[in-house]
Amino acid sequence: MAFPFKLPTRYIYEGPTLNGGQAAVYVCRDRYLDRKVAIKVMKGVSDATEIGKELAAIQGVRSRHVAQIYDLVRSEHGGRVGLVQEYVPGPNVKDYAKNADVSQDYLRLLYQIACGISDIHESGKIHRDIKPSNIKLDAENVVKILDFGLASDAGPDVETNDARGTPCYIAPELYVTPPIKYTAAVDTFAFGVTARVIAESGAILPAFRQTPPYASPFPSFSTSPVKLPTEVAAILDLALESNPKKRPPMTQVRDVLARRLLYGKHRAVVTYGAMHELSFPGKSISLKAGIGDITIRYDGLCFTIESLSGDVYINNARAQVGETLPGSCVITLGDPSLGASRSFVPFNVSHPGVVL
Amino acid sequence: MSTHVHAPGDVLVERYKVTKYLDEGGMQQVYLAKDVTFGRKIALKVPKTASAEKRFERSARVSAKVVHANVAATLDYFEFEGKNYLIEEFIDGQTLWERLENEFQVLDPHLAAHVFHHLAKGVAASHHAGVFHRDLKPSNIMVSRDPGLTTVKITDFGIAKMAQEEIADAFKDKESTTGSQTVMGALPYMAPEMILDQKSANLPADLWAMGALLYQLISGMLPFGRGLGAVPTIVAAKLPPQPTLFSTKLQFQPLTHDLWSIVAACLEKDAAKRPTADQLVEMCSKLCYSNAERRVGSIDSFRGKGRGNWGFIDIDGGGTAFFHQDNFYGDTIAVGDKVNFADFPGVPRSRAFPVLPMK
Repeated sequence: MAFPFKLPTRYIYEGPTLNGGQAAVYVCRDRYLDRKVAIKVMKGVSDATEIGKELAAIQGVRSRHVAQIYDLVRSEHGGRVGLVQEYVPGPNVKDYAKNADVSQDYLRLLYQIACGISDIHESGKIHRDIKPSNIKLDAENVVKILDFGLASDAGPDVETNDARGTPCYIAPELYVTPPIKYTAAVDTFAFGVTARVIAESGAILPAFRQTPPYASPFPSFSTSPVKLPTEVAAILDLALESNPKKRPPMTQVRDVLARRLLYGKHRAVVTYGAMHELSFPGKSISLKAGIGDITIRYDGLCFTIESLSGDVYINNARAQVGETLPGSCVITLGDPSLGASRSFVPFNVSHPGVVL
Repeated sequence: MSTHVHAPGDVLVERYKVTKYLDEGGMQQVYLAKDVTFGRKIALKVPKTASAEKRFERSARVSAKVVHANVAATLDYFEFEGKNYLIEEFIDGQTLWERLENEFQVLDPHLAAHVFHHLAKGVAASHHAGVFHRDLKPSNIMVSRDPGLTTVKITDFGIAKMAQEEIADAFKDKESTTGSQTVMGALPYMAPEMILDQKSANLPADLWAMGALLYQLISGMLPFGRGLGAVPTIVAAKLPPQPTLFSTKLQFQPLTHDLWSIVAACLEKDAAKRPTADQLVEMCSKLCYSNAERRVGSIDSFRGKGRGNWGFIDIDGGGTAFFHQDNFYGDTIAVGDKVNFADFPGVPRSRAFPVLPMK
């Protein structure tokens, strides 16, 4: 399939062409910069306004998970417009899930998708067509969320007359008589379905093929083929709640995943006489001064006070058993009346950076 | 300083409207401009001289191959009225050189690890695309203006080829170019093989530069000094001494130990023995550092040795934080000094860690 109108000489159509519902994407070469670009052209003839809407949505979002826009190309009489964008080689996450052992980097993949959707939502936009085929991995394995053709602003009065989207990924609240009010939670639902499809190596479970009211509930992520920690399964289950108000904000989903990615990777540095480290999940450290003793346990996610005796203060507040220590604190052993004869123990937590 | 190629209001290819002059390097001038098509701010780069012009297109094509969040995105390239132009994403920040020059003697190990980890990812992405930067140095790195240097992006790929030619000239005729800004700026980060036999230099030279850069971040000094006097020291490749704070600041030791092993691995004379960019990323991904949000303040008070070794920080914008001397990454604590720090919940004040003295 050739490019649908005469391209400026800067670009040469190389193919392939990727056909979507409302638009086609043509892989071309930018001769000036000697690189591949993706040029998106709407299928309808008077499509300048459609591209305009898509542009407005992309421009409003600052995210490393959204492809760069480079240029606009127009047909000779300006009737048709092509949006020149960063070419993302792929694969999309569905094809990736079919061919790779997703259990290895499932959490990292989901974390990246959640970061991208969070960025979109924090920019005041709703994507409205989150699905595995719109999520690709670039050459550096960074997730890119594509196709802002349905994207809209978020807000209390946002409504639509047609519940467009992709079956299986359409949130239940959209199956009503128009005009339909919707929120960013439609993306959260679609994210939940996407997460399950990836976990199922690209397969869509029959439960997701239902339309509301759902006769059978969606299977819990606790039964997913990818073994998931309890709190991750729980938040993914919440993403699929029928009531959009019960779905968590995507920033919360992102943060739960980020926390889990760092499981067992924290390091607490404790200076008590000498320098001590606490970094193995399940291990504890005890500080004993006679006037106040404390035992701190690392469970792989946080550092918690396991036991106490005497007078112990954390950043000047009386310590409590079960309390989680902040990222940096001073542990004071001894009653404040002892003044300078108390022991002051700096306790600092660090962890690897999650840099994509 | 040379004259500006463009004035505010100039419009190029009916698309880019010059807002203002920003900066210039040895080879090019940089302007802030508005991309009218997409209504966004962009950085417009134009070569300064005819000789720079020759390399410009190559540089643009090279940088366009690298797409990564830690590399400034190349958006457009075109010729207009006989000149070539490169359009890059606009990064609302400063060069790392400016930040170091104006604000920091050194970076504390946590902040250094953050900046370096992001740089390593950017270098790895460029090496995956087969792109050899050739001129990694603080003035080719853009960082955001916030106290935590949250955004880190490498820029000016391949421009270095031009600098390299100038260096070759400098060795042929030391008199003429000894004062050249380009040569003097590039030299402290140049690998031995870049000096001895430029043609043999390749990707591992970027790893050397990363080692030199990390040394500078953590010590506040260039590992082999500056000027042509650095040449024999670089060629000898004797590892410079560890920063003194590494041995005196116990709280930072696990991290400083890990950072030092990265410096030592990168500043290996034998290019084949240096880590690859992927191995460097792997080393960085194991670094434990605190990337809590940074703030700026000034030392309000400090009770010296024997009187608690702690003090308070007045936080810019309001509030105070407690700090302990062990978490202060510097030699002397003086009331009124500016500090960069992260703070954590505490009673009655938040608690600062780490505390980094500023210039």
